[in-house]
Amino acid sequence: MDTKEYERLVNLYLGSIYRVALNGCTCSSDAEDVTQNTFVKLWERKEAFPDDDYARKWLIRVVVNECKSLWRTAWHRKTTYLEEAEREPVFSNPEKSDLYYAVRELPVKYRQMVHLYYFEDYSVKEIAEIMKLSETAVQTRLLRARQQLKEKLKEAWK
Amino acid sequence: MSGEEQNRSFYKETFEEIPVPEGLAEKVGRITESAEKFRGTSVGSVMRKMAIAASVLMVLFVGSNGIACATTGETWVETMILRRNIEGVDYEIEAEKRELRNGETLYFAELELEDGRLCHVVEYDGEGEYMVVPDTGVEVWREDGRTYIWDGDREIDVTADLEDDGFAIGTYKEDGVLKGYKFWKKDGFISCRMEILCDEANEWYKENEWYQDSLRQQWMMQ
Repeated sequence: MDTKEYERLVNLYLGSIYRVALNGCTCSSDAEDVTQNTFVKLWERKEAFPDDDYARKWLIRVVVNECKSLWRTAWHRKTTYLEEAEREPVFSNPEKSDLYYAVRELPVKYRQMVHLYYFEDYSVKEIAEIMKLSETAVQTRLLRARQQLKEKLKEAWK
Repeated sequence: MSGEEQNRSFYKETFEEIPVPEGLAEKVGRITESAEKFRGTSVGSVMRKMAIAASVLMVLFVGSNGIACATTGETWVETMILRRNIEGVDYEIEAEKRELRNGETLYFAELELEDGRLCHVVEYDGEGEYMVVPDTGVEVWREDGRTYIWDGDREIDVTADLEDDGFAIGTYKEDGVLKGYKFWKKDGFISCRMEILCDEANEWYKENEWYQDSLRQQWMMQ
């Protein structure tokens, strides 16, 4: 990967990849680490991408795997993040803040799926490919996630 | 607008308000700058020698493997399906049976990872198993309920630590290279992470404070 192409893809997808990472991690510092590791893999990649959509999907697959690896590590389970409270995002209205925290309270395995579906506009089939799950598993988890969001957010979630 | 479309729009508006943390873009940008400092050595090779490419292997017990027979030309070859999780990706690997001169059998497969690296996966006689951790040359061996690292002539038995604490952590120097290992056990799986810090990588590592900090943090947190 040459520097120009790398920088172009960073500009295009850094925000997107960071948000996927945030939904796969318990805190923003982990999400930052996972994002960095993802872009290291991008930089190491030798073959060019056929198009930007392919690049985006490749990056998302890598970041999802990086999150999974993080969850399996021993130190991660033992860690508490004292500074995390100071780094929570501030939203323009309380409804958005409620949605953010409702999503954060979902199990991690639901969160990334919800994000890929509602934010990245991926179909159930595409999510199943990215997360290496069956389409039925994705549908079931999305359904449960929606139910949990509805319970928490009441009228704000249709 | 349907309820689902409203949800999508509400979700997007919310998550678009989450900013990328200050400094993250700069850190991600430095990944290429660091490569410039090692002209003549690809950043991949430097980084692979570092903890960034540390390999995480999850070793699944023998019980879930299945033996199948496949034909290659006229010769019947017994194969075994091995299920492995390597660096967070699940693989189903068809391993071929090999018979050793001493009468022992093992199942062998060479697996190409997504980025082209090769990983050798071997299951020994249905009881022991070993894997070569990608990019490190380090072998992890399990036999009779014990877990060892083999690196050259060195053998490290991590069984006791794994049994007592659920994890085993340590470092050693082999051929002038500092290596770190971490094993942990959960739900019948044993995972292994190897980290290699060679001189070249150490130089890179020293110059990249952000990475040094995150690595130090990882070691301290154990």
